This record gives sequence, C-alpha cells and structure tokens, in this order.
Amino acid sequence: MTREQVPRAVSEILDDRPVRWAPGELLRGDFDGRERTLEIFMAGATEQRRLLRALRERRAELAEAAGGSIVFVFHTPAESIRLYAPFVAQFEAFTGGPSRTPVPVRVDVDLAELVATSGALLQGELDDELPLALRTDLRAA
Amino acid sequence: VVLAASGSNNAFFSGQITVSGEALVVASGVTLYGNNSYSSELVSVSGTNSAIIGPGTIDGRGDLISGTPRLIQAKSITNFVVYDVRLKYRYRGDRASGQADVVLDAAAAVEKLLAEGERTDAISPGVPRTISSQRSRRALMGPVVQLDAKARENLEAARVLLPDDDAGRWEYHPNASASRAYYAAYQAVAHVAQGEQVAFTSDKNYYRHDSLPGDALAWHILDVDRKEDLEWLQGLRVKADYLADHVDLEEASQAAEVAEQLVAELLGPEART
Repeated sequence: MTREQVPRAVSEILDDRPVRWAPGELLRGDFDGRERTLEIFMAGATEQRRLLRALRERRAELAEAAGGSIVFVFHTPAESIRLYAPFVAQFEAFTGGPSRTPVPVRVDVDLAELVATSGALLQGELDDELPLALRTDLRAA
Repeated sequence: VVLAASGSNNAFFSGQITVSGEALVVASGVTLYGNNSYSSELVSVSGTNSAIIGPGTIDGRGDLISGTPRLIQAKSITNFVVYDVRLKYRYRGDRASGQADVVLDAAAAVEKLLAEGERTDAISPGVPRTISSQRSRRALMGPVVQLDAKARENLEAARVLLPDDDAGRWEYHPNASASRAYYAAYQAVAHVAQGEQVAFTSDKNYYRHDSLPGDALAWHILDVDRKEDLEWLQGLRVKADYLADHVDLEEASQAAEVAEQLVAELLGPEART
C-alpha cells in the first residue's frame, strides 16, 4: 500500500466514509504528526472510538504506508456538511456514495433564506455537487 | 556565602567552615585555603539543601597542617549538592592509607568534583573523581514539573469547561475542554513513563504526541483499548485547536470521561474534597 492509497483503504473499512489526508493549508499551527493527519468525515460523536477500533487489524500496514503514526481526526456529520460539503460531495460522487446506513444530520440553516438565495440549488441544477445526505435533508425539510 | 575575588585578591585563608542549610560558593579564579588550625575537616556540612559550588578551588594545604583532618565531611545531610568545584589537599605523606579526604554520605548529589590530591583515595569510596549527576543539575536549576499534578489539573479544567446542571453552570467551551482532556491523558501517560525512566522520544525533552499512544503500548503503560482512546483524544485535540470545526458537546463530554478513566487507571483515583 502507498501513502496515496491509505485514505481509500480506510474509507472501505469505515463503510465508505469520506477520508483524506488533511490539506496543510487547512491546518493552522504545527503539531506532531501534522503531515500524517487523516480526516474521516461523517463520523458521529458516539461512533468515533468504535471506528478507530475497526481499523485495529490494519494499523501497522497503514502506519507503514503513511511513514509513521497516523493522527486520526473525525468530523461529525453536522460539521462535515457545514464546513466540508464540497469535498464530501466530490468523494461520494467518485466512490458512488456511502454503503453505510445514512445517519440523520441536523443542519442549522435558515431554509427560507437558503431558498431565496439558492433557488437553483433546490431545483436540481447543482444537485450532483451536494452529498446525498444533504440533498435528502433539504428535500425532506 | 560567596567567596569572590576583589581585583588581584583572590584567596581566602580559613580555619574550619561550617555549612548548614546554605551554599558555599567559591567563585571562578578564587581559592579557599585551609590554614593550620582546623583539626577534623576544613568544610563541615550538615542540614538540608546545603551546597558547595565552584568553579573555584578548595585547597586544604595538607602540607602545612599536622594530624590527618579531612577536606570535606558531610553528615546528616538532605539534598546536599556539590557542583563544579576543584579540590586540593597536598599531602605531606604522613596520612594513613585508605582514609579519605572527602566523605559524602549517600544524600549528596555530585555533579562535578575534581580532586587533585596526590593520592587516589582522596575521596571516599564510591565517589569517583568526576561524577555526572542529573539529579544534582536539576537541584541547582529548580524543581521539575510534576506531570501527575498537571494531568489532574487539566482533567479538572476539562470538566469545568463543560456544563454542569448540579453546579448551575450552563456555559460551555467544548473545544477548550477537549484540548484539556487530551493533555490530562497525555501527561498521565508521560508521568508514568518518566517514573519508569523511559527516555524522551523528542530531543526537546518530551514524548512525541503522534507516537506516544503506540509507544505507550510498547512500553506496557497502556493496553490496546486505552492506546486507541489516547489516539482518539489526540485527534479530537487536533481538531479543536488546529481545524475550523467546533467540537460538539457530546464529543467533549465523552473526551472528559475517557480522560478521567485513563488518569484514574494510571495515577489512581483522585482525592475528592
């Protein structure tokens, strides 16, 4: 396995959650393992430790490919959509979407304002750029 | 007491000196000479936190005095430090073989003690001529951080940054709480590692954060579940401090619980007031 293959390998173990190496531009400050920080998206607070344990059997292989100990950062579904929706959408479009059971996501948006400012969004013009979970939530709302 | 030079006056001539709970500093270029009046030892040391510090010289002038007095004798001492001092005795040759000139009891921490006596047994057995002691250096610099106390303080900080109905506390700061929870766990592990004399993994005197969970597993400080808990706390702390995310309350509350378990297992249950 190469370093570039690590995110996909982790994603497959974790029910196709979006995964990537943290872009250096998004990390403010320096810390040990900065260059080996792996982001895992759509991971609820109560399932993050379980997900980490699910990687246990592959950890040595992953660390070797990464070039050292990996720092695992989990993003909650709410923050994944609030802050990282374009990446999540891109990842899911590339992989064909999640195999995991969708989790309910609470997104704090003013729908009236969203409709007013992004009418085209709800009419489907940009549907393909949004993650499935968000599309579903907006339609349901 | 500092013996310092004044111009070309750089020597002190003295009978017996008693050092008890204080430091005798012989400054650079200065020599403290024993006169011919001391009969048991030139420098008698006792008490707590006494020290003899160089880089000057103590010269017993054994060639001048009669009898067989010692140069330094330290008894009933606690945390006695000898640092970077040069010792001379200069024998006349009438001293009984095997009797040391410098006698230090086990509580002495000797960083650097250079003896220039003409005999090889000038310093009591077990005290080589030049000794390097980390403990002595630390004693001179001041105390080292108590990581166990810091761990407990950070754990308490993690708690008070979360809401508590019973305490009537409604405001909360989950990013800061998660960060403190991680440091509580990190410091608890580091405390145990230090207690087991495990060398730092960074040349900057700390255990590297990214490798500590795996290292602690290898050192048998953590089992694999706790190792992964520490990794999870570490990732949460990175998110809290270096990324745009807001750690949510559920994550922060869980982090405080995990850190509390880890600290209790490593340091023992805390004494609650």
